[in-house]
Amino acid sequence: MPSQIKTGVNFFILIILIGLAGTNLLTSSNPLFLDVYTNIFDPFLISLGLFPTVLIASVINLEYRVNDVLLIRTHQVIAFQMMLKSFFIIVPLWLSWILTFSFTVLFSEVKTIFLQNFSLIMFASLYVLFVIIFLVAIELNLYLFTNSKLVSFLITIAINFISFFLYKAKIMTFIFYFSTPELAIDFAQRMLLMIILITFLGFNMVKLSLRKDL
Amino acid sequence: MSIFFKLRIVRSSLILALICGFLLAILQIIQSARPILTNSNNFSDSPYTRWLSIDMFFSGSMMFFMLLPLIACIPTSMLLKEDMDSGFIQQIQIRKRTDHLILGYILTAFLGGFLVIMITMAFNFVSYFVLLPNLKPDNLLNSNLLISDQNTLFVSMYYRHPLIHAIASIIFTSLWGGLFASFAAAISIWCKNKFVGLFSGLFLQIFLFILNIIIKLPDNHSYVPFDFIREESPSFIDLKTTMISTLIMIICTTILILKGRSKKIVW
Repeated sequence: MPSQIKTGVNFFILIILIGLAGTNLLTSSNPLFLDVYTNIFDPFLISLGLFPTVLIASVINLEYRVNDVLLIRTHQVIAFQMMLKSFFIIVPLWLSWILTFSFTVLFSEVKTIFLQNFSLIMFASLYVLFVIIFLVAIELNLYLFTNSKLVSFLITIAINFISFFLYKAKIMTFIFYFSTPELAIDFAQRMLLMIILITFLGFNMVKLSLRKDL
Repeated sequence: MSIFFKLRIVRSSLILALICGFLLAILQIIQSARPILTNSNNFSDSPYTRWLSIDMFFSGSMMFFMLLPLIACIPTSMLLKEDMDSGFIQQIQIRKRTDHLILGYILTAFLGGFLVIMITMAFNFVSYFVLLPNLKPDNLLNSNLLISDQNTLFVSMYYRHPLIHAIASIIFTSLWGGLFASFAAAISIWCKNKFVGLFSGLFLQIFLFILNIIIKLPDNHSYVPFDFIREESPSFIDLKTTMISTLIMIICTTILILKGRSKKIVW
């Protein structure tokens, strides 16, 4: 078995555990929708568990082939390679997270509440995916800028933690917007903003890769 | 042999780890001491009731103890892997005994993690003596700390000799920093990617942190280093659980090193 798959399995196990931990606290006899929601999208669990795991998984695999620059005759290929590679790391991890909590909730007593508000929960988890992509985009930008995996990871995790503490101080940041159930259209509006930010960071990456020394 | 390792240490990574630790330590001081300095010291707070390790309320300490494995791993834990990749270790194996060499690498990793954590925590603790008076913590006046035998080890010693308790806490935490660093060095023998080894300490911390939510020990005693390496922890701790988890960590690291030596370095 290749070593990359061996290390990847560890990350999937951890993500599945995070999904299980979200639904583990649902022990009250008559849970409301708010209990279900706040247990699954617990900012404490997500900022200390989910985001660092995904950031570690993406920072470990931040590599590009220098030969491809010669083959395609442009430096842009570095940026596109890194974007695609991290996209294929993020999405399976995110999918395993939502599948875990969906399956555990579907076999529990709160199944009806979950199915009634299915679209809202899916919108919120889609918002989490956008936040993850945003954080990883910052990480990739910093990696192209500083050439150091460690520094890029440290700054990104600092952004994550600082926004978590702002959330704890009742100052709403857009990273932890999913912590309270909002209308689906509000999530869609925030997602549009997120897409604009992510495209800006993507263009920035392409521009940075053009000036990169190999 | 010690001269070789002294020359081998990469200065920039040591400075990076120290900068991270110092930033978090200073952040904690700003958060925790500012309200006392701007208003007044009504509850006769002292360094012993405010410093990094006893602080449960402010984010600086939580951030420090969450990132502690990574900060401890940065300075010296990747030296062995770098030398294995470049083939430099085979060059030294001609001159020195292999067992001594591997022991030296692991000890360097341990000392790097130990010293970085100890310096940052000692800096935080000592700088509080500049800001606040040196008073003994009182059972009733400082009851907002909620120190009991469920979340602190050796409570009677904390009220009788707070300085010794704090120094013991610093040494225990730096011991765990060193253990994380040597664990990362041991894991890195087995991995192809250098960064898998570097982040393995943080990964282990998050893994245990999540596992503690799902699988609970009797009486909810925490087995996460994030909880029990503090002087006062946010969840229930126990001396027995702490000792057993420290022992398990030491045994796991030793087995990984011994197996890795016979399978990956000398084969």
